[in-house]
Amino acid sequence: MTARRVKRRYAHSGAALLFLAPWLVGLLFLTLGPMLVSLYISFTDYSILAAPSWVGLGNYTTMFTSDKLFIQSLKVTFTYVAVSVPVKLIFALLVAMLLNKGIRGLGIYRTVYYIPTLLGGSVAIAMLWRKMLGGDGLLNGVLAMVGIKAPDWVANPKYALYSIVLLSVWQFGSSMIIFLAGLKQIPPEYDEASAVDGAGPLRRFFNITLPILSPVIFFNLVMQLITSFQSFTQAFVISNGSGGPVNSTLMYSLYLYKKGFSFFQMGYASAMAWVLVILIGVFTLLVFRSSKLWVHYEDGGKS
Amino acid sequence: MLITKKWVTLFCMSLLLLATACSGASTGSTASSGEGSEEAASGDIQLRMTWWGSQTRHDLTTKVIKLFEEKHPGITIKPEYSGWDGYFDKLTTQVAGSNAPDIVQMDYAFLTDFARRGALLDLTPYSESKELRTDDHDASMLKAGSIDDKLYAITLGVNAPGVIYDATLFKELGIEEPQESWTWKDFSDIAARIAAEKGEGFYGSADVSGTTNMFEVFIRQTGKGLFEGGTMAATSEELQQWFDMWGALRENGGVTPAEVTASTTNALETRPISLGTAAMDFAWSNQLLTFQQVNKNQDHKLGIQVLPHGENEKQIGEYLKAGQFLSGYAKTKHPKEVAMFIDFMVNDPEATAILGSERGVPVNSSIREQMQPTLPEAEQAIFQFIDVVSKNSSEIDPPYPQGFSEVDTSFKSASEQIAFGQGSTSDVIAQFIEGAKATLASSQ
Repeated sequence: MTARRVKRRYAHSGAALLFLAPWLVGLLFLTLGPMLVSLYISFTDYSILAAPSWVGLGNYTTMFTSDKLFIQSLKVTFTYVAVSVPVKLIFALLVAMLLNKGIRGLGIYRTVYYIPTLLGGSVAIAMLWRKMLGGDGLLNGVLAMVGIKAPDWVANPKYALYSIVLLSVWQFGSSMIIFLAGLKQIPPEYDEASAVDGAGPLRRFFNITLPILSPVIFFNLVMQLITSFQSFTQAFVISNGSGGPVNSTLMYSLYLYKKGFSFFQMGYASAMAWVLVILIGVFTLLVFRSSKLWVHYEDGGKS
Repeated sequence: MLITKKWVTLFCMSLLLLATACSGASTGSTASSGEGSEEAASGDIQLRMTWWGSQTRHDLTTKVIKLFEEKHPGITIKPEYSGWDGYFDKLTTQVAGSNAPDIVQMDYAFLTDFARRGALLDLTPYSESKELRTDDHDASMLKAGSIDDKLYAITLGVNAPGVIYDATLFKELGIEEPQESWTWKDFSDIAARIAAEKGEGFYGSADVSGTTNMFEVFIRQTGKGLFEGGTMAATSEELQQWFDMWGALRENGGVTPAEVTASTTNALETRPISLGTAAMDFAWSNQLLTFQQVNKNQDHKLGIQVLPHGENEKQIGEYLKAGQFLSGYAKTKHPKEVAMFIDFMVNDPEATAILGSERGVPVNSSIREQMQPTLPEAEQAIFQFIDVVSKNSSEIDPPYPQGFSEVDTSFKSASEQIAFGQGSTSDVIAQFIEGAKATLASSQ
């Protein structure tokens, strides 16, 4: 490498650093800083107003040994993730395949299906959802017309969580768009060739579409997994911030929030946040590990 | 092919980083922008004030703020109001970030928590210097606003818990209105009778078995407080009695079923009596006004009666309560102006005339005397009710111990568990007591 080339390389990285600066500053002061503080706080008893006092692993041991609501919130969150992520992905893939058929007005459909994703996280939509699924809401009005007496979906502990799952599945838009992009990448010749060889639609789906799409599925899975573990707004709004009825919608992050801001136990809440970080890390790692078995790359995985 | 392993891996990793960052940041120190109140270059003072309540309260309070600003041109007050749900969560967040509003509407249930943790302004010096006049305030209400002999909160209005009932409906059904001497048994009988007469979908009363304040009155009737010496004084037998009474009422339609109760919030507009699906509800006396305004049947007249008595009560459970308080924020840059505004809100004849008794009967006795004759009918009813209670009540218990809000939440959850039939009543009670005692012990 000549001296000139070295110099040129540094010039390049200087520009890169300059452009990265806003992000780097944000990362240092708004992300890493607070994270370190929160790590420290997680080992203390901190009531927000008084100075934190060191309790070592106290918060972590309480969590796993005597806090029933912590266990409950884990249960709720795992159920939510286990149900909502697969259902949402399957639904998104189905819609993407429909939209890939080259129908007229595709742009409009794509937009329409994407809108819920843009709005879905908002408080207003969650309120609307709550009204729709309430005891005398729209859904039950329709069911009553055909003679079915339905429960109050959001106020019944048996169904409340699933009404939140439904709300999350409804926001399938972003996964769908990514699936659609993936589907567009599949060369139509593959499909045509196998059709000539006599493969039916199902066979073609499982033997051609799915394997080629697997990197996209993998990406969507990881992304949804992470966001689902953190969901908060919907449960907060639908249950009036209580996680009720009977803690059936007490999502992990909702309980964390209540511990910190309603019960003045910021140390405990921080400890919970770190447990969540580890949980998400472990699950993401598991998905990564498993990916060798089912994700196929066109370039043979060489990178 | 665009999708390569490297690309996917990179993207996923950066997402994971972002994800962890989010959860960390949500609990770390809240970014505090703008410390307290900001002083403009002109020397004008800007204060922020926060409160919760109904639309009526927002309108009246903003009117008072305008009046104050007219009289004190150097000071502007920026209102930040909301409903009850989430109010204290937000306030706690603001205190944690050192940017809480200068003037804060405070509740009895949270007063100790906030005062002991140093979030509230000590008003004692301003009361001594007469910048905040308290001579005409009821002594018991000053006591209620004091923690460890320091004055942290000024009562905005005096309230008492009561049963709101639809007087028009009682008349229609030919049922006698509740009497001052009525007992829990009378209440149950009336509720059941209304349900039977009106049929399915209409209930005698809202189910308030999960409302700690009402259970507290029930316990006070046994001659003790709900909390004594920093722990819970209610026994499992008493809890059993309480929940059994409500359970029986749920059976016969006397009170709302579990699902309906769970979908009812603290917003008065969502209460069954407002929606025209119940004849009674438990509330604070000042809420009568709003209940009347939001009622679906505007031609129905509402009444209020004292809470039912215990069958063999040792003392009257009913008590006078400082409804809401006004407090200052400990880190405010303008404590004197905060005291001035609090003084204005409770002692100024014009301001108190605007506020009326929406937050409860005024704490200043001379203001009260001036006001009474000029009041509209519904407010007269509240004044009369407070008169009845003040003759016939026992003294309010000391402020709730630290950790109360968590106990309050689990009490509600326990009542829901029982209502939805998840576990036997005695198991749920045992769990609740165990949890409450642990919470209170660790919060000391």
